[in-house]
Amino acid sequence: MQILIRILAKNKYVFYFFFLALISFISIFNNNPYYSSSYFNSSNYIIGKIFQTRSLVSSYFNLNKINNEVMNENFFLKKQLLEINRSQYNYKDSVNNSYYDIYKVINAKIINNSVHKKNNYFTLDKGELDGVKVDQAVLGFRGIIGKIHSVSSNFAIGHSLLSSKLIIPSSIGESNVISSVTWFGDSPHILNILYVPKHLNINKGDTVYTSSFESVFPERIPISIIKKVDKNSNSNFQEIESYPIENFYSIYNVYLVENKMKNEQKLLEENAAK
Amino acid sequence: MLQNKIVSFFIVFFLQAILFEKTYFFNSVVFSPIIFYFIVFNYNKNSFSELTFAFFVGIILDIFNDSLGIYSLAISLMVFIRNYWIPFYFTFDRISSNKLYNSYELGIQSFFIYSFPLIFIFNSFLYIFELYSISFLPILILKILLSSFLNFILILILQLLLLSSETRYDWS
Repeated sequence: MQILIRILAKNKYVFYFFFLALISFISIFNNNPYYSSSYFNSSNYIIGKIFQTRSLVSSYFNLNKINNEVMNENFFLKKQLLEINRSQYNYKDSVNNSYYDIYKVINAKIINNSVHKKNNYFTLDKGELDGVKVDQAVLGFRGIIGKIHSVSSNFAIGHSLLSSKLIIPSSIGESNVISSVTWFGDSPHILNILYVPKHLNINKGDTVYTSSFESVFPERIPISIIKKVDKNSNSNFQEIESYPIENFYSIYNVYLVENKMKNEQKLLEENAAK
Repeated sequence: MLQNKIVSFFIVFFLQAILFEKTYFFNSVVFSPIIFYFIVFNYNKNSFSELTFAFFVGIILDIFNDSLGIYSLAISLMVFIRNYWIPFYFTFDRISSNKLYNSYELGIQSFFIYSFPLIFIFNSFLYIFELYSISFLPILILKILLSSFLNFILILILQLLLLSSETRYDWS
């Protein structure tokens, strides 16, 4: 025992370092890939405020780009409005069940975003007080951005599509081939399409959309465009790579979409499973 | 010296936390100005306070970087290795508690040999843990080497900007 104490006393600096390293390792392995929500939320407020200030300053330098985005977006919305008006005129009965009635939309701004990790996150400037909830879908101007992971009063953190833990049910092209989209963590420019059987014909350039199988994301929102199809893989499925529709290096404005019928759908599905 | 040390610390800390936070230049180089503080400033053998300070600075950077544990480990490891590296590399008369370990004091070649292994170790930990991957090992090593070399240049620039002329020669 005395020898042990003597060794400890002699090498206390080394043991102290190993103690600190142990704390770091526990933090790394316990909190990855999902850093604990509680840690996020406690530091969320202070860090969120700092990022918000930084974002405020940097947004002045991006005003031109943001203006163009807003103009494009207005154009897109106007086009949609015209289409809705037309459908109201032609198909009055379908209006009550229309896509736009069951979704609640909140706009938000990304104040922090990562793209180089195995599981990437983004921070939004809206929180619980603004109606943001866990599991809401996050859409960009062109397509899917991710899903809300944790929420504090004024900020929210979401899993980006560039997260290996996010698997989104999808459908490919006009033929609606059922598949799933995920990210293997290799390049921020490549998303992987899973579970497409080899006998189905998938073409380069086909668009991958969200499917109605998961109640989180609205149906037929673009996710990515097929880049490479490999039928010669060893597995039962094709190996498909695609370009994400959204550029994750430059996302500023996003929309949070909540499916008002999600709980009802889930409850019914759970009851049916019993 | 103390004033210079505190000012330098706050400058490199804010550069690291606000400006260079998660900024990947050319998609692979991570600039870490915070290592300037832990490489250049004074050395005390087996200093618990220095190691503890390095650990807590790492934790704060981890909060900024959403990378719980990675920076705290990388910085405290660098400080821990420096504790043994300085007596190993320098002769006894060149080790002093109020000495700065910079290129003005040591000469650029000697400073490079002293600082580069420390920067390399820091960057290796950062890359392996932050990117969670050791696939494509040659490319990873190349990225670490490139990042370490550019960080060495960054340290030289910071040295030029942050250490006043009196500070440079006071301890020679």
